[in-house]
This record gives sequence, structure tokens and C-alpha cells, in this order.
Amino acid sequence: SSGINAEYGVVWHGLDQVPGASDVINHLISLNKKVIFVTNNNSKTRKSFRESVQNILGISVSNDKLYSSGITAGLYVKQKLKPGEKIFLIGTKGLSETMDESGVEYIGHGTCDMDASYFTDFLDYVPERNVKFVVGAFDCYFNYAKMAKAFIYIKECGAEYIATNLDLRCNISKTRILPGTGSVLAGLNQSLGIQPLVIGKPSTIMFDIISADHNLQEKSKILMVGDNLLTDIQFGMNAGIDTALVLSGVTNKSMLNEESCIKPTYVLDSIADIK
Amino acid sequence: SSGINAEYGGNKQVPGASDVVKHLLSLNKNVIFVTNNTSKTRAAYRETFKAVLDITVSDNQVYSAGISAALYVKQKLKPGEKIFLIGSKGLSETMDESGVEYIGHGCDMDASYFTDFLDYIPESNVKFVVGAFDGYFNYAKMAKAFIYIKECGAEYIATNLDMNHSLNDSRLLPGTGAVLEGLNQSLGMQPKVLGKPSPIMFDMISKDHNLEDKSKVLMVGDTLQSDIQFGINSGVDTALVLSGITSRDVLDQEASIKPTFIVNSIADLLK
Repeated sequence: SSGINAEYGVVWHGLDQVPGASDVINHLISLNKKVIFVTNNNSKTRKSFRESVQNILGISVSNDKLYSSGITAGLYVKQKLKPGEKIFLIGTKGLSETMDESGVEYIGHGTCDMDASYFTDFLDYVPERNVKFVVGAFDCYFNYAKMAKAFIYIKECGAEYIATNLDLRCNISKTRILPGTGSVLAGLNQSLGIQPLVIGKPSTIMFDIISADHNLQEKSKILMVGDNLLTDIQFGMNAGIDTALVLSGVTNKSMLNEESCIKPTYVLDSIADIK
Repeated sequence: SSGINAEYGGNKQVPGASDVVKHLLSLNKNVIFVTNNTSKTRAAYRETFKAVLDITVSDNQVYSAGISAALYVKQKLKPGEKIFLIGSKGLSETMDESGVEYIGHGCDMDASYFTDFLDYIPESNVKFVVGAFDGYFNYAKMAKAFIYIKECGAEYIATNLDMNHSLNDSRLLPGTGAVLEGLNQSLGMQPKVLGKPSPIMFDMISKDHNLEDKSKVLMVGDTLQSDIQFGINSGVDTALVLSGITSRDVLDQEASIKPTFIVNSIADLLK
């Protein structure tokens, strides 16, 4: 059977493991259970993710046990791109490295785009051919030039539009909230009048891909463990599998009690309680 | 009486426009130009009117969404107070022209990830965030604007929120509204909009020109949703010219926005 773990807040906090996490995971692996890591973070390549799991948990995992919204976006487009076809990429350096890792060819990425000073800069803009996807993720350098190009690739060239996640806000500390990835992409979405296909939890796209990669046939033998009701537990519910909420991360007991629609199958203090 | 004209884009006058405007001026009518554009200072407009229409205009005859934003904040800023400015170079020059002190304008490459803002300390005395079209608007600017509004209580105004911009009717692009949309959604609020069809510009013009009798004011424009709606919102008569964006078909399809008069071009106003 498989255990799908959400990453941060479940198995580690920052650079330290949640106490007991590595013991539990080693135990599950020794019982021949498949443990797969699933996160919405999209700044890590599989290689870098593997290194984190090794450094923080002391566990060796293979690439195919690691899925993030970025990694999955790479796998998703790779399946569908024919030779010579490429994507227009909006994202961090980590995401571009993830695309490299998957052998996906991309344009548009980076810190330096043309300085679009006005709409008229796009009068004579000729889009490249063979751009089949626009992939949207957090990108600090997303400016009007990138937005206009993405708009043109989607609207004029028919590129399929996918995004890693659309969270409008990001809690960066106890005292500060900031705009999130959803805010970076909101203008593009509203001006297009469409929403992208979202890869990250709670969308089931990652589950479909994991299922196919690992031949997961019996849903009743899968448990999704996570600390976030809206992403992890909802993801499990959408995928039709059992869920376990751990209270060691973003969700505490009172938040759980306030939430009436999203109900985990099990509730645990931490992953160490999985016996 | 006053005629308020919406401006027209492009560098050539609509045939006969110059004659009409000169004629109105000779009849002692107050002709005021109103546009949602934000890239020109009043000085630049004076030059454009001279070059394209062969007319000399004074500063207080020209109002753009950018100029009005500058006047609006200038009225309310105390000495030492400033604004966080999202906009083009032309808008920053407009702020300079009005003596408004601003920060945040231009290209900001500071941030590479959310965490760069963990320890960001906002400047004090930033009383407004002014939003307009800005080719350089990126995450660093959005996060700072968000912080000034949410944490520091700065008032948030924008020149316009048009979601799309049509380039010569051949290419559709995201508009100023799209640039600011992420900021608005993450804040969960909309800015106060200065551009047409909001009547804020009319209120300013009214005060500056002492327009007491609204029945003597005519708003002339080529766009139903901005110009004509602006006139309607301001409580004045409107004249739609069919020489610009709006054709007869579009006019016939638009049931809710009704101009008082319809003319083929501004030249017909002489008749």
C-alpha cells in the first residue's frame, strides 16, 4: 500500500525534521509500503528535493517518489510535447532547472525581459512558433512584457495554459501576509477571461500522474497525510482516498473545529503517531 | 458655457477638429480636454495641441487621469509626505510637474522570492499608493504596494482599471486593470478610480473652472463606456462622435449607455 505524505509541516519544519518523522517513514518503508512525497512548492528539482530528504530525514529516496507542483508541471507538459515543441515559462530559477531536469524546452524565462514601456511595444511583436504551453508559477520578475507575451501565446497561438497553484496570498511570517502566486497570475487570468489548469493540491492532477507512474490500483490502500486542510486534505478527498491530518504544522485544533466542509479521515498530533 | 472634449489618440487631427475647437474658443466657450491617458505632462500636452491642432491651450484646460491623480494627491499631502508610485515615466514627470514626492517608481529588481520581504521595513510618511500602467510592475513592487496599503494604511487610487487594451483593433492585450489586478485581489479591495467614467475628474474640473450651471456643459467623446458614461455620471449632456472607436453597429448594440447627441465627427458640432 502507499502512503502519500505532504512535505512541510508534516515531515519537516524549515531545516529540522518533525520529531519522529524519519523513524515513522523508515518503518513504513521496511513494511514494504510505498512512501511518496507531494508538495506544492515548486522551487526544487528532484535532485535538490532528494538531497533535502537525505539531509533532514536521513532517508534515501528515488526520484520517482518525489512530486512537487513544479516537477509535476514538467512531467505533464513533457508527456504532451512533440520534438521541437516548447513552453513559455513563468517561474523561478528552481522551476527552470526542474524543466531542464525533465528535458522540457522553454522560452520567456528569466530576470530580463524586454522593457515594455507601453502597449504599443507589442504592435509588431511576432510570437515564436511551436509554443504549446504557457506554464505559470511564482515569478518575481513577471512584468508587463511577460504578461503580454503569455497572453498572446494563449489567445493568438492557442497554447494550453497551466499553473502550479493560484494561492492569492502567502503567510510569510506570523505578522506579515503578502500577495501569492495567484496574485502574480491574476491579471493574466482576468484579461484572458480564463483560469489555468491548476497542477498543485488540491487539484487531482498530481494524483493522476502519481497513480499512473506507480500503478496505484486500489484507492482503499492509500493514505494522504498532510497538515493543511485546504490543500492536503482536500486533495485526498478530491482523489477519493483516506486522509490523515497532522496538527504539527499550519492547522491547529481550533482551526479544525471551525472547518465544517473539509473532514479528514484521521486526525493525529504528528506523523510520529502513525503506528 | 463649457465643452469638455475627450481627446483622440494618434498624431493627426480628425478632419475639421482644429476649426471646431478654434471656433468654440472664439465664442468664448471654455474648452477642456479630458483623457484617461497617463503618459503625458501638461507641458507635453501643450506641445501636442500646438503641433496637431495648431491651438494654444493653457495648463488648466488639460486633464488626464495621470494629471488628475497628481492634483488629487497634491491637495491632500502635507509637507514631507509622499506617495508610492506605480506608473510610466510620463506619469512620474507629471508628479514632478505637480510637486508630488514619490518613491517606488522605475525598475525594482530587489526580490527573487517571497522571503526577501521577511524583514522589509516600509518608509514612513507614504500616504498614497497611486496605480497606473507600468511596464516594470513586478512582484517587488506589488509586495511593497501591498505593504503600504495593508500595513501602513496608505490610500489606494488608480488611474483606470481597463482589463484589456485594444491595439489598433488588430491585437488585444492585457490593460492597466490587468497590471493591478493581482494587487487588488490579494488586498481584497478595489482602488478609487480617477479616470473616466468615474466623475472624480469632473468634480475637479468643476471646482477649478467654477462650472456652476451643468446644463451649459457638453461632454464630447468617442467611447460609450468611458466618455459618455463619464458625462452621464457627472450629470451633463453628452455627444458621441462616430469618428473614433464606436461605430453605428456598436452604438446600436449598446442598450444601456445613451448619448444625448450623436454626430459623425466633431466637425459636425459647428452645425
